[in-house]
Amino acid sequence: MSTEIASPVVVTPGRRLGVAQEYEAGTGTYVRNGVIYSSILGTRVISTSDEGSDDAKTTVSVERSNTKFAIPVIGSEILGRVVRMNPRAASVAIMMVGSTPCQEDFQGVVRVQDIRATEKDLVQMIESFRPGDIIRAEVISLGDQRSYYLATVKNEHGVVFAQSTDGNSMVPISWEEMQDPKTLVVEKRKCAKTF
Amino acid sequence: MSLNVVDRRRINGPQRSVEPVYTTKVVDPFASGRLDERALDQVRPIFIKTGPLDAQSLSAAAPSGSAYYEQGKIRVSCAIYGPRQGRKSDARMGSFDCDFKYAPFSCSWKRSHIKTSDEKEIALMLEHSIAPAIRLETYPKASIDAFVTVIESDGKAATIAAAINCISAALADAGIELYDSVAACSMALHGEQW
Repeated sequence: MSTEIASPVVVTPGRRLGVAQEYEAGTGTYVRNGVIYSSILGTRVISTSDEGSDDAKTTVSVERSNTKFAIPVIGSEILGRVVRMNPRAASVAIMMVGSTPCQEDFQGVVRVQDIRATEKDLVQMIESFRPGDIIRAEVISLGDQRSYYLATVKNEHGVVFAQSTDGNSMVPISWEEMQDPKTLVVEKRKCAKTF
Repeated sequence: MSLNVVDRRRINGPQRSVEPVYTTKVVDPFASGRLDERALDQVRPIFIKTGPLDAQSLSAAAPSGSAYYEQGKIRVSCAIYGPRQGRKSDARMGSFDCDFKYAPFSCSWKRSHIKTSDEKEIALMLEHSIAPAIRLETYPKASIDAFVTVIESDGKAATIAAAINCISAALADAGIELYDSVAACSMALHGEQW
């Protein structure tokens, strides 16, 4: 539970906000020589969490009203579209990181050994994804020069939206199958557990 | 642009162009020290507007931030794209790239459509001035690109200073993490005085 304890003030980058001894540095700030400075143009927000307890922290952060674009970070959850596939890897256009969109699609790749947690050597790429599928994945590494490395190992990661060969949106019926509700054709995908 | 090379892709204006004369008053530059009758310690009046290049006005991808900067007769606009996938792709730090162009109608003589070495040198100057102020370590593998267009120019050094201020405003508008905004000003030694 956090409450704001000071009126909002517009701050510019480089503006001193407080000392690190009194406040915790929140988003939109950086600390240098024990002093917290603003790193973006926005409104200063001072909030206290866990009021009344011994762990009460007063955090100073700067919030921006406009969209702030995200970049993939190790451990973050991304939403992307499968662009190309070969038996060893699937190329993914990363469109969103968490709930923040990317300014332009980043390039990611899901290698065949990073699709499932078990029986990694038996995984078939063609039974896990198809080009055009929207997948939820986790960034496991910054990867090579061109792509981030992604994994859909967790239960909640995998295909969230796919179209059947007839063009209808499919519904997941198990962790490895999706069904077209109109033609009742079942196609194999590594589905994300969305419930 | 050399007089022998003709740009065949566009409808060309005259090869040589001269600025129209608006006043019959003759100003002696060595008398007052300035051509526009400003005091020696007076800065050109500044106007800044952020966000002029919004999504509604463009058909292509909208920039993350933009700014329009006027200082006296100098008019500069800057668009920031990023953070987006970088070509250099350093895993530790992001990169900042700057693109600088004089519009062909910006100076008192017609400028080439093609980027000259002069403009490339100024672009490098802008990169070196602004890059240290950006928290590039928070954007690993990403690239932040600035595109500066000079709409009207009034003295090379003053225009470069205006470009730096414009990029700072655009970066703040784009929400890029900065250590501080960069401000620039041009000065000249006049006799014994700056």
